[in-house]
Amino acid sequence: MNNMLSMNRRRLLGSLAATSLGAAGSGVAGLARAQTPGTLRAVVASDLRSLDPVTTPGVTIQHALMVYDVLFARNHALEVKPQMVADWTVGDTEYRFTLRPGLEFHDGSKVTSADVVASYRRWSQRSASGQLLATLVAEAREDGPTSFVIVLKRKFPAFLEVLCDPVTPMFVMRQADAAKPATEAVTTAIGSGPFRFVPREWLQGSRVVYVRNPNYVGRTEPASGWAGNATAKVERVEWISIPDPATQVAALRTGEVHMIENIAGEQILEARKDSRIELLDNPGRGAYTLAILNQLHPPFDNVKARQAMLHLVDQDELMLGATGSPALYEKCHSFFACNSPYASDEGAAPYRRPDPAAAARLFAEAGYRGEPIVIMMAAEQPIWLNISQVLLAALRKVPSLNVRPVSMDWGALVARRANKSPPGSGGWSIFVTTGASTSLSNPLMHFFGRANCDNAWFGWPCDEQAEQMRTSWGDLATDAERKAAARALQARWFQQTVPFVPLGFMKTTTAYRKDMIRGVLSTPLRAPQWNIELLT
Amino acid sequence: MAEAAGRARLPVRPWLDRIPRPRSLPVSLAVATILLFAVLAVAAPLIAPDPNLIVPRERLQFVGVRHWLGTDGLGRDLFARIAHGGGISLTVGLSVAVLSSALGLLIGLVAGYFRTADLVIMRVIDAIMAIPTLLLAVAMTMLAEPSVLVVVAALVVPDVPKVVRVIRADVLSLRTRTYITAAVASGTGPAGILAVHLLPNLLPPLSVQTSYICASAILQEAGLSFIGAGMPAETPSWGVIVAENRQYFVSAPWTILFPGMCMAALILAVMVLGDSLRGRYGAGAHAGP
Amino acid sequence: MLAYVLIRLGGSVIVVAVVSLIVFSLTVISGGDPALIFAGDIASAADVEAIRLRMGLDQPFFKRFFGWAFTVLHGNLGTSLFTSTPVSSLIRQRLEPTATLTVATIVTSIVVAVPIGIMAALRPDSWLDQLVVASCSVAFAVPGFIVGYVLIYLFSLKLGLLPVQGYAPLSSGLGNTLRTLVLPTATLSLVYVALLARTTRAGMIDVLAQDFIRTARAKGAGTVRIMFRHALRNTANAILTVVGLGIASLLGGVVIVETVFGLPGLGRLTVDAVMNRDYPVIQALILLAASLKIVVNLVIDLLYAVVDRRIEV
Repeated sequence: MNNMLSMNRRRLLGSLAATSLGAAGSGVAGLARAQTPGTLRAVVASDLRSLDPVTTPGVTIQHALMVYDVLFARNHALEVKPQMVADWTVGDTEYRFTLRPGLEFHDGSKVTSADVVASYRRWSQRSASGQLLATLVAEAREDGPTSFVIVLKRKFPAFLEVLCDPVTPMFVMRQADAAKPATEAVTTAIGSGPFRFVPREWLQGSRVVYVRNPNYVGRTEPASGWAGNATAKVERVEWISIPDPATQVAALRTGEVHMIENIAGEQILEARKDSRIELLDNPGRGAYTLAILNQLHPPFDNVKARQAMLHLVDQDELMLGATGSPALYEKCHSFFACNSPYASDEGAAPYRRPDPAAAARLFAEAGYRGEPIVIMMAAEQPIWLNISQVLLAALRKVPSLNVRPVSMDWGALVARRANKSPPGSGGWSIFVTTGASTSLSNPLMHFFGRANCDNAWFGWPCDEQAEQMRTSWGDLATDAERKAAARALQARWFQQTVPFVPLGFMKTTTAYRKDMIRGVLSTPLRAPQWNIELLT
Repeated sequence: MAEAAGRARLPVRPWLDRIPRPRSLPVSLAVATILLFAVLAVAAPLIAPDPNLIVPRERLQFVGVRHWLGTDGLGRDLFARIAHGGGISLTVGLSVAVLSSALGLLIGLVAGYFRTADLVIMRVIDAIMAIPTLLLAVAMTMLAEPSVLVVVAALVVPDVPKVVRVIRADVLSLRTRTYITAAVASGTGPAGILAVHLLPNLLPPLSVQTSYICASAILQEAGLSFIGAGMPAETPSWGVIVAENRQYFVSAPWTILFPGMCMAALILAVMVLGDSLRGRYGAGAHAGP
Repeated sequence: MLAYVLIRLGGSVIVVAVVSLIVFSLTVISGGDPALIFAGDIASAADVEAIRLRMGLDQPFFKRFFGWAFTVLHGNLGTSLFTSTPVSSLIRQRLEPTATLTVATIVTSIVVAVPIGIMAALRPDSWLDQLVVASCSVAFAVPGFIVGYVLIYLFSLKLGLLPVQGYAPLSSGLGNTLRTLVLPTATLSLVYVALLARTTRAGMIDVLAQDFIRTARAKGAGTVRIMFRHALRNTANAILTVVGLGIASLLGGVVIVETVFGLPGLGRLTVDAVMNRDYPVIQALILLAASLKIVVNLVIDLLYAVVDRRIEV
C-alpha cells in the first residue's frame, strides 16, 4: 500500500524524467548530462551493433525505421500503403513509380531515383524474399530524376506485397552507400527518415541517440501501423540499454524510461500490477514458436516421423511453460499465423489433441530404428529453453525414441544447425525458433515454408509439389482463389511436407507510461517512435 | 622450547588423530549438515520423484502435500530437484576445492620457497590467471560434450592460481622466521622443511581458501550453466535451479529461496569446518619471530 | 629492486604473448562461426561465404594470428567483426564504468571488512565472532542478482532514492557517478567484504596468538598499539593477496552486476564478444586484462616487501 508521500515523490520524479531538467543531481532520471527537453527514452529489444539493415536483421531494422524512409509501408491492417511513392502505374509486367516531391536526405541532398534503384538492388540481394525477387524481377532502372521502373519477368499481381516486405523492409539509402556490396556493412546512417542519427553520442551497449529531422516531409494521412504520417513529435529519442528484463520494468516504474518496446512473459504480469503502465492491446503482436526438423536424415526424413511430432505437441503445455499464463498465449494449429487471412484449420484436425500413442505408432511405421534424435537447446534465452525442455519431455513420452538433448550457447547452435552431417556425427535433429506473424502470413512470403530442398532454410524440407503450389500462389488475383490455394497448400503441408512443427503463439506487447507519453502505434513488431508525444 | 616439542610431535601422530573431533555445537551442526545433504543426494532416487518431470499445469506452486517444496516454472518438483541437485553441487564444489587446493598448495610451496622456480612458475600462473574463465569453459564444452567432469576442469584451472598466490605469500613470509633458519642450519633438507615446518602452518590459511573455493565453485557453475557452457541438459545442480528460476524472483520467490538456503547452509557448514581445522592446528603452530 | 621489476616486466611481455596465442586458439576451438552469427537467419550460404571472406576467416590459423599481432604492435587493436567499429574506441567507451566500479568496490570492501575482521578476531568464538562467520557464509551464497533485485526494490522503487540502472560518467560530475554506483557497488562488495573479513579474522587470530604479541603485551603495550604496529602488519600480507585477487577478478568484468544494473562495462562486452566469437574484441580485451592482472600482481608482490620488511624481493 503506497502512502501519499511516496506516490507524490514518484510523480515528481516521473515528471522530472519527462521534462529532463539538466545538470547534476536533479531527479533520479535527469542524471547524466544536461538533457534537452522533450527526450523520449525507450528500451528496445537488444543492443544496436550494426547500422546496416541489409546485412543485419533484428534491432538494426528498428534503427533503420528511425533514420530511413521506405517506398511502401504496411498500415495497422497490414495493407500496403505508399510512403515515399506519390503514385504508380501498373502495366502488364512493368511497374512505374514516381516519388513525392521535396524528399531530402539528412545531409541536404535530394532523394532521386538513382538512390532508390541502387537501394533496391542492394536490398533485393539479402532480403527475406530475396530468392523470390530473383525469380520475379527482370530489371530495375531509373526513369527520370524522380521516377523509376521495375520490370517483371511475368505478370505477378502480388508484387507490391513482396516489395513492401514487413520482415526486412526496403530502406532508401543514398546511392553512394547503396553501392556497397550487400555483404559489406554500411557504417553511416544518412537517410531521409523522420529522425537523424547522432553518431558521436552513440555509446555501444549503453545508449543510442536520435534527434528530430526538421526537414522530414510527412504524409497527410494519419499514422497507422508503419504507414501514414511518420513525423516525429519529440525533439530527441534515446534508446537506453537495459539487458535485464526485470530491471527494464523497474526502470519503467521509476520513470527512468518511458517505454519498453518489447515486453514478454513474466514481465508482462509484473507490469500489469502498476496502473500507470499501459500495455498495448495488439492481438497480432507476438512470437510464433516453431520446432524445426532436420529432414535430411532419419528419422525426420520420413513423413510419418514428422507427423508423429505433430501428434506429440501439446501447445497448452508448451505455451504455459513458456509464458506462465493462459492470458499470454494462444494456440495456433495452422502453418500460417492465426491472425492472417490465410490461416485455416485445413488438415489440422488429427493434431488438435496431443496423442503420444499415435506418435509412437507413426514412428514405428516410419521404420525408426533408434537413430539418435539430437535436440539442440540454447541455454541463454530462458523462454526458448523452457520450450525446448517441454518439447523434450514430450519426446520422452515415446519410450522407443533415443533422445539426446544437447545444451549449448547460441553461437554454437548457429554453427551446428548449418551442419548437414547426420545428427549422431555433429549434426542435429531438432531446434526451436520463433518468428513474428509477418513471417508466416502468406504462402509466398512464408519464411519457414520454403520446401526447395538445398536452398530452403535450416531443416531443408524438400517437396517439389508444395513448392510449386507455394510460388504459384502469387499469380492468383482474386481473394477467393488465394484463400482456396492457401488451404490446399496447408493440406499438402500436413500430408507430406511438414515444413516445421507449430508450437503455439506467445503474446508480447509494448509497455509504456501512459501518464508520460501518448501516441504509441500498434504494429506486429517493432513499435516505431514517430507520432509519440511527451505529456508534460 | 615448548613449540619445538610440539612440532616434533605433530608429524608422528597417526592420521586418525587428525580428524577433528567436534568440540563445539557449530562444528557438530556443520558436519551434520554436510552429511544430511550427502545422504539426501544418495537417497534421492528412492524418496523423491523425477526431478525432470515437467507438468506445466502445476507450475509455481507453493509448499504443499503433493510437492513438499513447491514447483518451479515448468511444474517440476522442487524437493526432487534440490535433493538430486545437492549431490551434483557437493560433487562439483568438493572436487574443485580439493583439486585446486592440492595443486595450489604444491605449486605455491615450491614457488614460495625456491627463488628461481618462483620466477618461472609465477609467470605461468600469471598467464593462467589472464585467461577468462568464461572463454575457457565455452571452449572446453565445445571440445568435449558438456559433463560434470568438464565443468570441474573448467573451474579448477582458474582457481589453482588463486590458491598458489595465497600459499606463496604465506611461504614468503614464513620462510624468514627463525625456526626455519634454524632448521636449515641444522641440516634439514628442503623436502623436510616443506613437509614438517611449512605445511602445517599453511593449512590454516589454506582451509579458509578451500572453503571459499568450494563455495564459489558452486556459484560459478551456476553462472556457466546460465549461458549454456555448464552442466549438460537436465542436470539440476543448485546453481542451475537458482539461475533458471531467476525470472520468477517476484512472482515465486521460493523457487530461488529454497535452493539458495540450501546453498547457504552448505557453504556455512563448509566454512565452519574449515575454521575448525584451522583451530586444530592454529594455536601454537606459529612460532616466534 | 629495480632489477627485479625489470625482470618481472620482461617476463610479463612473454606471458602476454603466450596468453594471446592461447586465447586465440581457444576461440577457434570454441567452434561457432562469427560469420554465421553475424549473417543471421536470413543469409544464404553464398552470403555467409562472402562475409567470411570479408572477415578474413578463410585464412589459415597462424596467418590470422600473426596478422593480428602485427597490427597490434603497430598500435591498432583492430575492428570489431560485428559492429565494424574500432576495438579501441569500444574499449575506451566501456572502460570507465568497470574501472570506477572496481575501485569503489575495493575501497568499500576494505573499509568495511577489515574492521569487522579485526573485531571478530579480538573476541574469538564469542557470539559476535560466530555471527560474523555465519553472515559471511550467507553473503557468499546469495546470488548477486538477488542482492541487486532486492536493493533496486528497496532503494529505487520503494524509496525512490537511487536510479535503477545506468551509469553517469565522471564528466557529468562525481556526485552523479557515485549515485549510479551505490547499488552496484553494494551488490558486488557483499561478496568481497565476506571474503576479506574472514581472511582478516583468520590472519589476525593466528598472529594474535603468537609469542611476540604476548611479549608486547607483557611489556605493557596497549591493545590499539598492538593491533596496528604488530598484528595488522603481519596480517596485511594475506589481506593484500586477497585484494589482489579481487582486483583481478573484478577487472575480468562482473557480468551479473553489469547486466542487472545496465552498466555499459567491459564485463558485458567480454561476454558478448565471446558469445559472438568476435575475435578482434576478445583478443584486445584479453591483452588488456592480462596486462592489468600482471601489473596488479607485480604491485602486490612489491607491497609484500614494503609491508613485511622481512620479505626480500
